[in-house]
Amino acid sequence: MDHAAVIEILDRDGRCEDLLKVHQWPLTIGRSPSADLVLPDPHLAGAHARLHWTEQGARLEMLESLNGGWLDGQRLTAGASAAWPSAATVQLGTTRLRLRTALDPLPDERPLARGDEPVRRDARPAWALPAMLVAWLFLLWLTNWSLTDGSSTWVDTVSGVLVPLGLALVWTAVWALITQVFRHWFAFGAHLWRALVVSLVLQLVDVALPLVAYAFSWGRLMAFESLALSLGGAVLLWWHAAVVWPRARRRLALAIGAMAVLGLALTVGRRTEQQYWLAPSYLSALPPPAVRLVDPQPVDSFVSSMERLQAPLQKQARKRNDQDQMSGDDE
Amino acid sequence: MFSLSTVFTAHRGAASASTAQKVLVPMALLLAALAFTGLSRAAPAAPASADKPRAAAVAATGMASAPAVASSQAAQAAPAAAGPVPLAPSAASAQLPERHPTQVSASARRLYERARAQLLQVRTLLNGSQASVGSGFVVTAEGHVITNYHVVSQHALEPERYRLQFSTPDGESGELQLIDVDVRRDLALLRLVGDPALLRRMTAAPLPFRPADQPLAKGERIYSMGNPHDVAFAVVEGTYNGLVERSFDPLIYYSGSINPGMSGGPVVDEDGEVVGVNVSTMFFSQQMSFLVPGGHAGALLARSRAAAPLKGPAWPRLREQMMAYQEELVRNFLAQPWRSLDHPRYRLPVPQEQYMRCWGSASPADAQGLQMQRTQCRMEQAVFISEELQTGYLSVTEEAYDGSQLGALRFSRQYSASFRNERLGGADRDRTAPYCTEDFVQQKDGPPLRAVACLRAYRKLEGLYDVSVLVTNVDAPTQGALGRFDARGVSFPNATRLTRHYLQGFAWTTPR
Repeated sequence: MDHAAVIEILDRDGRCEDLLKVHQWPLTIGRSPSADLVLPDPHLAGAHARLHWTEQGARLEMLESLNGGWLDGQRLTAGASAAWPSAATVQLGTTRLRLRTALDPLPDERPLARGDEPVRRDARPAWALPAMLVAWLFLLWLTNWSLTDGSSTWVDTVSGVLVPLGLALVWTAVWALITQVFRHWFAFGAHLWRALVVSLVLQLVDVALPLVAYAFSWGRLMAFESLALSLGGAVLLWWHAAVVWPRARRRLALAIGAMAVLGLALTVGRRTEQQYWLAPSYLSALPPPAVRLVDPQPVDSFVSSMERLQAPLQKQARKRNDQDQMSGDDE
Repeated sequence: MFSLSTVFTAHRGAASASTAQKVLVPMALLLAALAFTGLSRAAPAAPASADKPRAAAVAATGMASAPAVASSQAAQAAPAAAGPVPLAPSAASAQLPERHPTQVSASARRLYERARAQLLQVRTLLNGSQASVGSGFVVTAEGHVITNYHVVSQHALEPERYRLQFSTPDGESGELQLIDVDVRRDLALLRLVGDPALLRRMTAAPLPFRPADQPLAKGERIYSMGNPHDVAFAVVEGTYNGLVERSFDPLIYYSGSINPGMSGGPVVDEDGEVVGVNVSTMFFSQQMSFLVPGGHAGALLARSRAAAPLKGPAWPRLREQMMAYQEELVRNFLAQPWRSLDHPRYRLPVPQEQYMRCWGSASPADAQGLQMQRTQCRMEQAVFISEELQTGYLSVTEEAYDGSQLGALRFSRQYSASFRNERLGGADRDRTAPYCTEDFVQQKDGPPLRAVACLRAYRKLEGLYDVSVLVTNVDAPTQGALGRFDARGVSFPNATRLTRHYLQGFAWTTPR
């Protein structure tokens, strides 16, 4: 049949929810059982519209109805008639329809997105999640252990690991529930993986940054610690959200990125009186001596390096004095 | 010191202020309990040490800062929170006349009667209400009055907001002008303004100073006068106990009860000659009070007797005096060689105890994990600038850590945490936030060190800085020594000199 066509009934996300093959032209659309395409939409007339095949392609004729319809947002009242190109969406009542004919070029078959595969075939090998969990727990234990003095009992040790683990599981479960709501998929493994990866990376940064900063005596490197925290938090949020709303990845990235930048700006704004906008005033890490890679300098050169503080300190001291005077004048 | 009197006086007016007082007292008691526990453990035989009088007063009145310090590290044994309190009040009604003459010794009665006309209460008024009260006394026929700087500091720093007024034991009153201050000794020179007849009566027989060539002997009876807590003028008998030991500036130790509101009042000998000026008491101790020696007041008078009243805020004057004071203090300190803490590996600089007091503490001998011993040395003298700002002192803390039971990894974590704990202060009204420089430092033949030098600039006292130097040894995986040197209110060149001096104090115990 030359005029082979299908009408797609779209859901709220614009995806095809149901599909009807057009067996004959013209074709009536309405709520009445006698219509060729019966739609269960209370906002439709019994016979709401009729679809014709003409030389120029499909054409929609509006029949007598209360609500009429829209062609790509353009109003169609009763009696109106309009060509229905394949790209256009027609809304009748609350139902949105799209037309696809044999004349339209058929898009190539698209590769399957991993999220659309059966859940069993996961993004990572089966051992990855347990291995990550073990690494995560080990690092947690190591962190706790490094702060003990040998007097702690196994109860302390276990609870020190279980409490954060519990928090991580609750966090994951919440995200899995959200995914369940939006995608009908209790994506526990996917979210747990994301939470573990990001927190592990943050912990490693937390360990590595001070070591590098100390080795080369680059105290300023610690600025990345606070950056890493907000950046890591933002990435984690986005990564979770991308599972829930895979089609909105880019918008999510923008929104979460903007929030992270705003948070950072607030942090910096609070610290403008400090020497540094980020990071503490001095590097407090004191790893074992083997880590140090630079040679110490003589006392005199250290003392003369204090000189460069004088000008900025004087400037900072005068700043508030000026403000005081200004407010005094205002009164 | 006088901040306590502020609390007291405020109590009379606003209900909110009385809450403040109620809060203050239990906190102060709590602090005292802590201080004493710490002390008795650390040095059972020591007399209640306590910060210098003035500093101690700060601990009790400026509660906000005190607890922060106390909580900073567990074994805060050294400077206990004791302290002197200023003194001050008068009552308009004060018809003091002896209702119970038999309870007053003959001398006290005689001396009070003689000094009565020269005694006055100094009141600092804000919008007509008294913001703080102290005492003072007339020393010249021209109407010069001596009191404490801390009694008039609000007026000195913000003359357009705070006015000075005096009132006499008979309830008469008039204005006061600020002529000069000696902030280092906490003294102020004022001048009476008001009804000529009243002034004539008050200046008829100004109080004389006891000549410097007639020193008092320990145990002599002296008599302190003033108006405690704005209740009524009082005369308090006590004993001269010589000078406070290990004090940079001489301060008389007086065994007598001085109370807030009496600050700036005279202390006279049996002949009615001024030997000192009430300045502070030590909190949570019995009858431990401190007097500025009368000679300093005499010197201030001699220096500025002919001066015109100060115009505008006294910041420039304070700056000048603080500059001179820190110059003298730092020169003196730099001339002293360091002592060393008793440590098998490192020589750790500890100051001489000429005008600093050192207190030692350590983790329990059977403690598991990180072992620590600490020596904390501090000047107990501090210069009062305002209630929020006391400055002009030095302190040194040395802590030796041994983590051989912990291993390198755990030691490094816990030692880092201790290094991170150091408080450097933040930006406030008086000072900027700390600006630091840091690096590895090593002297020839000395151990490698990690050094951090942080400075805060004073906003109003331009050219003065607080400097904190943190130093730690970085040559051993399970051992470390953490030193901290603090100087408050020094010039920039002196801050660098002190930093160099301190860093040079670190060495190996046995040269290698």
